[in-house]
Amino acid sequence: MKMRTVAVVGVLSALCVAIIIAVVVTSVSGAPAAQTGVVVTKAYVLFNIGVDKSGIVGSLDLSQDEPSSPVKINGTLTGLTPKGQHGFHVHESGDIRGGCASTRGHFNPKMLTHGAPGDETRHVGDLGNIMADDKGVAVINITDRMISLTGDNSVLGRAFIVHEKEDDLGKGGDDGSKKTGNAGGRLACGIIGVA
Amino acid sequence: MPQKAVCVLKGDKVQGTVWFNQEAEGKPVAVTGEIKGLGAGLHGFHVHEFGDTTDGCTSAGPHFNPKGKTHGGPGDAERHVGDLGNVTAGGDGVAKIDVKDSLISLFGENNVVGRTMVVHADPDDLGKGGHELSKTTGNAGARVACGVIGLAKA
Repeated sequence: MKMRTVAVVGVLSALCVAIIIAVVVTSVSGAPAAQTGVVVTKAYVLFNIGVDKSGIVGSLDLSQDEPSSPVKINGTLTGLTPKGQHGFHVHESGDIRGGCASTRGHFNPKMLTHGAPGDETRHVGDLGNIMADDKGVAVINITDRMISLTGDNSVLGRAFIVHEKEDDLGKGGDDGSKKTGNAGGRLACGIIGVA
Repeated sequence: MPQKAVCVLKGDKVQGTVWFNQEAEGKPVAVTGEIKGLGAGLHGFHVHEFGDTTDGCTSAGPHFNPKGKTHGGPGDAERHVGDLGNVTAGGDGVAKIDVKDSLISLFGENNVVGRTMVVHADPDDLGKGGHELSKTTGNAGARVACGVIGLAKA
C-alpha cells in the first residue's frame, strides 16, 4: 500500500516536472513572432504592378484573428476579361525589380505539386481562380486555411498575382498543370504588406 | 537560416533599389543599394509601419516603432526600429547605401518585411534639431519615394 502511494507520488512529481519543463521550453524557444512580439493580423495588397499593360486595378484586405486561424481575403479587382476565370496565387517572392515576372514561382515551401485550394496536395500559394463578371469585375471573398500571416506559411512580403487564364487546378493532364495550372501570363501583382 | 529582402523605391523623380541581408535571426542586417534622382545632400531614410502605398507614400503611416519610443539616430538606444538615419546623395543625385543595422530584422517582432521603405526630401535631424517634429520624424520633410519591402530569394 505504502509502496503504491510512493509510486503514484513519484509519477505525479515526474509529470509536474515534465509539464514545467515543457512550458518553460515553449515560452523560451517557441515561435518568436507569434508569441513574444507584435502579431500581424491584417495585411493589404495594392495591385499596382503590371497595371499599365493590363489595366487591372484593385486591392485586397487580408485578416487573420490568430496565428492558427484561417485567413480571410476580401477585395475587388476591375479590368479583367469579362466572364473570365483568372488564376489567383501567392508567389514566393516580393521582388518586383522585373515587374510581376521576378516574383518567382507559386509559394511552395513544402515542394508539393500544384493543386486546388481545397486539395491536401497543393502549393501554399494555390488560391485557385477568381471569376470576373460581365463587366470584368471580380469580387473576392475567400477564406483559406493554408496561408498565414505568421510562421512558415507567412505570405507577408510575398506577391499576389492575377493570371491571364484559368488555373486548371492541377487536373489538366499535362506537366504544366502540375506546376502552374496552365494559368498563363501574369497580368497584375502586388506585394503583401503589413496593414 | 539567412534571409534576404528587396525594396524597389518609386517616386516622381526619385527611384532606387534597396537590399536587406541577414545571415541569421539575431544578426545585424546589411542594408545596401542605390537611390537616384535626389537633391545633393542628406535625406531621411526610414522604414515606415505599413506596407500600403494606396495614397502614395503617405499611406505607409509613421516610422515603424513597435516599442513606442521617441525618434532618434540609428546609433541611439532611444530610437524607432525604422530609424535608419540619412542617405547622402552626391552632386549627381545618386546615394549609395552600405550600412549595417542591429535593430531592424527580417525575423520576429522587428521584422521589416511587408513594411515600407521611405526616402525623404530633407535631412533627418536624428531627433536633435529642436524642431517640434524632431522627436517624431526628425523633421525630414516630404516623402519623395517609397516601396513595400518584399522577400527575395535568400
